[in-house]
Amino acid sequence: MLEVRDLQVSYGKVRAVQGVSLEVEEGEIVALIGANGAGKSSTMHAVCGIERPAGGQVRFLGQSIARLPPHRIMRRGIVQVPEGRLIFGGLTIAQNLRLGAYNVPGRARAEADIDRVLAFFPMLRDRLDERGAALSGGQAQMLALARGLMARPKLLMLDEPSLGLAPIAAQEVFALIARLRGAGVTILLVEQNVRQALAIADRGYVLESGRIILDGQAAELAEHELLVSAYLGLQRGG
Amino acid sequence: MVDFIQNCLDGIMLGSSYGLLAIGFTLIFGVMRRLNLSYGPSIMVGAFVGTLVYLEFQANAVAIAAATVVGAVIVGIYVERLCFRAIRRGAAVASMVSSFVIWMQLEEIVTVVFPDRTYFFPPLVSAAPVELGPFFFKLENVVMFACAAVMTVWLHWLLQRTRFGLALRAVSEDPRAALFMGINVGAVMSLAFVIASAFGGVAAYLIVSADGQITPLFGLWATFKGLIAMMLGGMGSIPGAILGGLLLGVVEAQSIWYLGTEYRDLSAYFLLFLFLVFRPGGLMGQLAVEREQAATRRV
Repeated sequence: MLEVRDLQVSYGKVRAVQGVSLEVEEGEIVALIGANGAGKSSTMHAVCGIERPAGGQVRFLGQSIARLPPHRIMRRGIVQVPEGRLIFGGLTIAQNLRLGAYNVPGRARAEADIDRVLAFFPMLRDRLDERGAALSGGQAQMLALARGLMARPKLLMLDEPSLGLAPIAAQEVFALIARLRGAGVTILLVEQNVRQALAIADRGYVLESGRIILDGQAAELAEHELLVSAYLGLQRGG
Repeated sequence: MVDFIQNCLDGIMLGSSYGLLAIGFTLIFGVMRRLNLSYGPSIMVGAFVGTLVYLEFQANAVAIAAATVVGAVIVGIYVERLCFRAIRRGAAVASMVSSFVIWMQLEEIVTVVFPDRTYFFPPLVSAAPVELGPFFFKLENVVMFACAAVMTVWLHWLLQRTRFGLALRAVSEDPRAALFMGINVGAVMSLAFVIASAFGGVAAYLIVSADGQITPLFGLWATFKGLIAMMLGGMGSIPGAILGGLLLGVVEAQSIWYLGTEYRDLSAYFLLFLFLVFRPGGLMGQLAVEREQAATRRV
């Protein structure tokens, strides 16, 4: 479904991504793992067009999308839920949801979509007229996910969906991501919570300094000595 | 008392045109977080395009008004390309300084093409003032007020009730988040610029036709009035722009009557000074100040 070949992203002279190749098949959850600054977010931004790749190829459903502007890429079905959630605090929850469907033609369908999406997020239903700024971190993340779904994604890219959340809220987010796969959404997931990410993912890629150093089935990665010592072990120790 | 009320009425009608100018400023500032100093001069060029159409073709009022608005929009797009699109990612100051440079450029061009400096501008209506009880209403001022009211209501509808309005508000609150929504942020900004220029063009036509003449200095004048009205109302706030314009108009009308014409601009600056000291957020309060701070963090 998504095919990234030798992707490079630069910020001025800093090369954040240096030749990343990865694939996401339809129906999969693929985790992208790595330390801060490893190039996970930059890879996602290049895929959805927010950053222009300095080199390499991005193909989606067989077509090259590497040079398209973000709104055109979204229309093809790649939707990113950004890190930090980026809820519009001054707009209502309903307006935030409608903005999610900005690129979906047909206003009537968008209204029907709100109903469909809210089935996943019952806690938002009673609060549609409240401002985005009134939500807690966990609720804001739910709204960000709901808003992403409003765009009718074929591929949903989630950038650190559990970052800054209380453990219970993070659990809810992961449970929801698993449910979304059941609903037929393909997911590319960037997470600092490696254990949780690998628990729900099918496959994973490990990034370091802008390069992929390891990839494989999620269950195998979770046992890999490199990960156990670098991330999982650290978490176990607190 | 009758004088005072008459001054208020005059001020409100005059102030409605200031309100339109301020809406242009505030719309651009609200969406881009940048000051467009060449806003006044660009609508001045629009008014000279109207003058040209009048001089060359002896055109009627509608054609002159249309030429003014179209001219203002075209120059507005030129300014947007040069000062705002090219340096969208750069420092906000760069846009402001370059818009100042374009201001000078536009003034020079107009002085070269129109060497006589002051030109006759045909009035929209030339009827005697209407008398209503003890009060007088100049017809051109009533038209000015009506136009401003209709356009403000339309803008409110556009911002609050349409898909484009929602996108505009999203871009104005957080352009980066708007990118993730699949909004074509550049196109939305450009369209906001076009709307602001069209508002300025209408304001320019109404003001200049009420004055009956135009000079290249109109650009400086319009920038001052629009900026002051925007600051009084609160930067980035549309209702604030209207209220600020009306307040400025009323204060000017009162000071013309009680102090003399030479105090008109002085009292306007004094009013601005008072606001900057005691209520820097303008009439619409703290909201605009907070948004400004949020914007500075983003820049």
